[in-house]
This record gives sequence, structure tokens and C-alpha cells, in this order.
Amino acid sequence: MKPAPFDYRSPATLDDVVTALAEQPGARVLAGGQSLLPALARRALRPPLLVDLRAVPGLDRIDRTSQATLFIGARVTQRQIERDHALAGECPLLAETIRRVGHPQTRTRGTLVGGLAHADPAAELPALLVALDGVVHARGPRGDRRIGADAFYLGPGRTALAPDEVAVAVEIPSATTTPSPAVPTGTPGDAGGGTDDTGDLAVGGACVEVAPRATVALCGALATVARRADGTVAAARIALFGVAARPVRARRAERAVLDGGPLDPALIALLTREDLDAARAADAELPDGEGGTNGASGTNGAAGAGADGGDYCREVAGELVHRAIDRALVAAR
Amino acid sequence: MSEHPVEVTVNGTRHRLDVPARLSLADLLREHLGLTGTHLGCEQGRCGSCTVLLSGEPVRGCLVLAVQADGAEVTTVEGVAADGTLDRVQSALREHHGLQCGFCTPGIVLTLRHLLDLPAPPGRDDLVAALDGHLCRCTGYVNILRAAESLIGPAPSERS
Repeated sequence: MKPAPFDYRSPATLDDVVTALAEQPGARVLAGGQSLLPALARRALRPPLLVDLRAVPGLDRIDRTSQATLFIGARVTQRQIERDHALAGECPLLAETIRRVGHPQTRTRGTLVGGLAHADPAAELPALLVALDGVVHARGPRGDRRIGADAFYLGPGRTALAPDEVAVAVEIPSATTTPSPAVPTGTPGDAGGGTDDTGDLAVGGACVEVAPRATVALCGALATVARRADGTVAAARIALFGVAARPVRARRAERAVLDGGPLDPALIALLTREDLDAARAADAELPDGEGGTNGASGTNGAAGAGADGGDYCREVAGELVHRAIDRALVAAR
Repeated sequence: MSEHPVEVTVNGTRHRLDVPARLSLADLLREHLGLTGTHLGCEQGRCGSCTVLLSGEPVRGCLVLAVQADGAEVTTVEGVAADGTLDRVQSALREHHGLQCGFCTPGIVLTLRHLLDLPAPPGRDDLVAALDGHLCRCTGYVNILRAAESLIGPAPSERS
């Protein structure tokens, strides 16, 4: 099917993007288009105007700070991330997850930030934001603001972005950042190893999915861990997709990993189930679909129009989390 | 809805035209330039039949708006065998019976063409990952993969 007719603008500055969004209610931001254009083709979305970011300079960069924080601009493609070999050491979970998104032919144009803003709860990227504790940087008529992963997702296709706000970049804290400020953060090590060069912490990440056919996953778990030289775990973050209306942070399972000791699959499954129950209770409190968001109501995930992959995905979630932790710990040796 | 000026270079030939915003690159090629070798299956990015090279990289022709391709270079299957002689990807697919109805073939040709043109030679895993982006209802993929593998030589473990 062809998309419904729409108008198109390609402003040269971010402020003009915001102005265009504010002037035309229902307008949508176009970055890589690999989630938005299928939704238009299905006529799940019929925006009157697309505002393309292609002419805005400076959004196609991956920047690093001295604290090893990553800033990835709104036009950085998944292919760019795949080909940035330093990222395998700086953020192993990002490097591992990005090559599971879509197909090589869609990663050419698909962007990380666009995938975050599309807010498909059955897709890898929103769960990646949650697992990495990322921060979305947004520009709107009232200025710039930062939105943390915990506050970003409001439901399928729905984010905390206002209709006239545009996601400009995502900030990803160093993979060795832990809740305790006493733990040093290092500069990135060699690609693949993920070891930071202070010798204090080794970082590993893993993305484990159920993908029945082709590469469109039904659900999955993402884990990133940082280990001290003695093997103990200094930081662990886990997120699930395809199991609820939003990506789910598995905090109880994270605490079990931080507590150390051998991983008990039955315990992880139990804790994951509690995490899911808590997430679904929180989802039930969400306001219904109308209003401000720059995501899609019909998603491109395997679950189609549904919010999640159903009982099967909730049943296997614990095992996915267990495998993701296990692989992340092995990678962080 | 207004028309938008677009300038694209397709298989080495520059074109300037005005197009509606919703026109896909695939429809630009097929309907406006008469290059019907680019096939449209699902029109929503799943099947891969419309894959073309945009600035040298494989993309879904249905998931790029014509206006987004402004200023870009596009290679379609018509540009692969420009002089009428099959290129080595096409010859390998023919040799290994890597097609039957041929609907998905143009996209596969361009995906493989791109892989072979990369600085680092692709491995078997790269071939599988790239072909994963293409649906074929005839061959069962085995012969497509055989054709692709014939272009990169035998895997080290298969040499004796």
C-alpha cells in the first residue's frame, strides 16, 4: 500500500524543525524512516507533514567525553554504529544489540535515536535505552531538556516527547558507571574485550532473543555488567522487550546478580516474574493513548498492533534474562 | 500536496524531476524513470525485493522517500549488467539455480554486489545475514547461498 498524502519539509536548523512541528499538529519527525515509513505504508499513521532531519548539521556524529560518556546524534545510522569498532569496547551491549536490529538493508538508513523515539515495546532499541540507562536529549519551543530512560516510555508508540519536541541525541553513560560514585570510570579499552584500562572493571553485554522466523524478534533480554578484577559484579542492568507495553527493567534480577554467587535459573525466573508483574501493574496506571508523543501507535514489532508478545514471552522471560546475564558475565571476564 | 524537486543520479545518468512527498524511491525508479527491474513486493520493508544501492549501500527502495534521495547516486539491477553481459553475481545465481520466478532476484543481486565490493571480503555469516533481508518463495535459499558462497571461495574448514 502507498502512504496517505503528506507534505514534506527539510529545515536547515533544529529550531526550524521545532517551529515546523509546532505549526502543524500531527507532524512527525523523519530521521532514517525505517520504522516510520512502514507505518505510513500500512496507513497506521497518517501525518499531514514529515519534518526531515537530513539537512540539519551536526546530528550525524558520535561524540565522547573524557568520562567515556557517549553522545549519539539523531541522524547517526545503525550502520555507522556497527562500523564504529571502538564502540565494541566502550559499550559492548550497544555493539551487540545494534547488529540484531532489522536487516543489513534497513540498518543502512535506520537510526538509533529514531528507533528509541518510535517506542515499539517489542523492539530491541527501546529496551537498549533502558538497559544502558540512557538519557534522551530533546529540543522544543521551550528549550532543551534531558529525559531519562525510566521516564521516556509511556506505552506502545508513546514517549515523553511532546508533539513539538524532537529527540536530538541520546547520551549513554560509560558502561562502567555504577550506582556508587566511589567506583572509578575508565577510558575505553580495545574493541571486543570491553576492559577498561584502569584494570578495575571489565564490561560485558549480551542480547538474547526469541526470533521464530527471519530476524524479527518476538521478545528478548538485554544485560550489561561490569566486573571487578576479583570477578565480583560492580554493576548490572537488565531490560526486557516484547513482554509489556513498555520495555521492562528487571531490577530484582539485577540485585541478585549484584549479590554475587552462582546464578540460579529458578531464582532468576522467579525474580523476573516479579519484575514483570510490577511492570504490568505500572503499565495499567498509564493514561490512555491520546496526546503527546512522537512515536507510532501501530508498531512494527512481531506482536503487530498488540502491546507485547503475550503469555509465551512472559513465560520465557526468566530464561532469557538468565541467559543474557550468563553471557554478559562471560563476556566481562 | 506540493511537489518537491529531486535530483538523482541513477546508474550514472542524472535526472531532475518534481515528485510528490509520498513517492518512494522504488516508485520513482519504476513509474517515473521506467526502470522496472526494481521489484516491489510488500512495500513496507519486509521482503527486500526493492533493494537498491543508495550511495553505494543497500537500502529498501520502498523505505526511502524519493525526496530523501535528493543528491544521491542510485544503482539498480539495470546498472549491474549495463552492457548486457551478466555480472559475476548474476552468473553465479544462474549457474547454481539461485532463482526460479526471479521476482526477488534483483534485490539479492544488489545486496551481494555490495558485499563483494566491501574492502574486507565477506564470510559465510555475512552472506547469511545479508540474505536474511530477502524473502524468496521459490528456492528455499539453499541455491542462493551456494551461488553467493561460490563468489567468496570455500570456507577454510571445507578445504582439505
